Parts: sequence; C-alpha cells; structure tokens
Amino acid sequence: MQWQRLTDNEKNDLLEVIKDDDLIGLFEPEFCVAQHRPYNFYKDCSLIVWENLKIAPPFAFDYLRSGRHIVYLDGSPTPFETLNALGRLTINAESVIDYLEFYCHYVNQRPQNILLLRNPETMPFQDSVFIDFHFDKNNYSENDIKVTRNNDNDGYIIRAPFVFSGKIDRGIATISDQGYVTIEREAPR
Amino acid sequence: MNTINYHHPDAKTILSETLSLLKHSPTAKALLEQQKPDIKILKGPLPQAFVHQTSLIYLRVPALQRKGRLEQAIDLAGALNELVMNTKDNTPPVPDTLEKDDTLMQQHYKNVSIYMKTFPIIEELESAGHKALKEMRLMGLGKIYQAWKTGASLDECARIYWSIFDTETSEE
Repeated sequence: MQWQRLTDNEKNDLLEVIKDDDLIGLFEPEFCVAQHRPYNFYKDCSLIVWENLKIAPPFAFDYLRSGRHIVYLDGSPTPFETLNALGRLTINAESVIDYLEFYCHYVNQRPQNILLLRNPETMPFQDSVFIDFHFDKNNYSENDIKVTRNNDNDGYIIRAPFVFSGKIDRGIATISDQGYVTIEREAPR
Repeated sequence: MNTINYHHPDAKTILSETLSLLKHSPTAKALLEQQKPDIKILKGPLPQAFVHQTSLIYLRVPALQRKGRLEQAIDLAGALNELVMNTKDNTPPVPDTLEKDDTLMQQHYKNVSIYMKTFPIIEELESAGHKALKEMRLMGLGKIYQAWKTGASLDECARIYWSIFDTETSEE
C-alpha cells in the first residue's frame, strides 16, 4: 500500500473538484503534487493528499475519494460519517486498529488531541513535549493494544495506550461497524 | 463549481481571539501593525499556517475547535516573521526546483529561522501570563527551543530540527 502520484490528467480532474478560486495560492498546480493510497479497511476508496510544496513541511489538503464521491478531511468526524454511509468501510479484528489509528490522525478531538500509541518510534517529536513521554513510551508496544468484539455484536472495543495532549494514558475506544468512534481515558493520572 | 467548503465555521471568533492573544506580545503587535496581513481561517485536521507571497496568511484550525488558542497565536507569529523574510527576499519559488534537495534544504533552514525569530514572541506571551512555552512544546518545538535558549547557531538548530523528524537515522 504505497503512495502513488496521480498522473497529470488525474491531477487536473481532481483539481476541478477540489479547487476554490477564492483561496489564492493554495491550488496552483505547478507548485502542488497529488498522491493517493488505498487502505485495507476501505473498499473502492483511497486517501488523496494535495500538497503545496511552496513551504516545508508542505501545506496539505487531505481527502477520501470513492468513485465520484470526494470528502475533505476537516478534522471533524463528519467526512468519515459521510463516506461510511456509502458502505465503503469493512472493518474486522485486524483492520479495526488501522482504522482507529487513521481516524485519530484525521479527527482532531478538542479540547485535546488524542492519538493511538501504536509504535512509539513513529512519534518522534512527542519526545520534545514532556520529558516523561520519552520514558513512558518505552513501556508500551503494539502488544498492549487489545481488540475484542463488542458484546452487542456491533463493532469492536480496543483497549490501548493513547496520547492525550502529549501524555500517555490507557484508553478505551469503541468503534461501531459503521465507523463511529468514541475514546475515553481509562485511568486518568 | 466548487462544492468543498474550506472556511472554518467559527473563523470570525477564532481570528478575533487569536489576535487578542497575540497582541500581548509587544513584538508581535508591532509586526501586525507593520505587515497588516489579510488572515483567512480554514478548517483542517492539523493546525498550520501558510503564507502566500503577498501579505496573505492562511491559518488552519481543526473544525471541532471553536476558539482561538495559543497554538494559533504561535502559528500566526511564525507567519508574520515569514512575511518579513519574504519582504526582504521576494524571489518567487520556481516550480521545477521545488522537490530538489537544494530547495528542500533552503526551505528547511528558512523554517528553522522562522522558529528562532518566533521564540522571543513566545517568551513575551509567557511573560504576559500565558502558558506559551507549554503550548510550544505541545507543538513539538521543545528541543529546538532548548537549543536556541543555550545559544545554538542556525546550523545546530537546523540539525536538531531535522533529527526530530528523522526516525531512520536518529541516534536516540
């Protein structure tokens, strides 16, 4: 599941759908690249990233696309609900962890951001947040993520370490088969 | 016809609150008065700022966020510093070179320079009673700030900033 660049024609077609002429400088094709990749929990659907390379790190817009349907990932659950209502989500005991990680990355919970701590080594900058994060993260591995089927046979419950605004705590995530997600802190400090 | 709405539903409130916070820094207040930027608030998963070549700044804020926070004030402070740098060197980027190593390195150094010019504003916000240093650490800038604080050069800060994101060759 590697990133693939869109061809020039695909990029131009995409631009016609996503551009906003009022937002000067953000959708100039000569300064932008568009890439896409599929995910194992979505059928006939891929993530598309439109990156403006004028600055580093690039200013990026992210979308989920399935056929002619395209939704902009704006940090809320709404785009997920829109796409999942089309029946594209197919989660099982393995792929539900990938889905939760993806969801946490794109749904920015407020007032605090919540991330699934799956592989501490892929979250390097978090070291610079709080000194205890550096030590805490080494206490966890992917084996700490436990998935069970929900008792009422709708979705899954995942007990796992999460990063709540830069601090690690255990949490419980409930994911319905339709892709609705709730995350609660299990053991507050 | 565009069907995607990128504008944040609470843009007006967020902008007003962000500006109010940022003006607690005398340096940032002077930059705002000097640059007089047009600021647009967009929605998106990760907070970020983007400076157009003209005096136009895009601030991206998660759609679920209803208020302007210190994070936006710090992003905006960085964008103001970038506007000043662009005023001194207004060479437009060349599309064909954007992905070349030299260009990426230039952008990397520019980014680090922006952070180094923004740290004094963060300290002024902290002195004004805001938890700006904590917010700055939450944004992942703690290591580079510590280096800057102890007098590290641009080269040293750039190397530290690079190591934060480079998981393959990190010595840690």
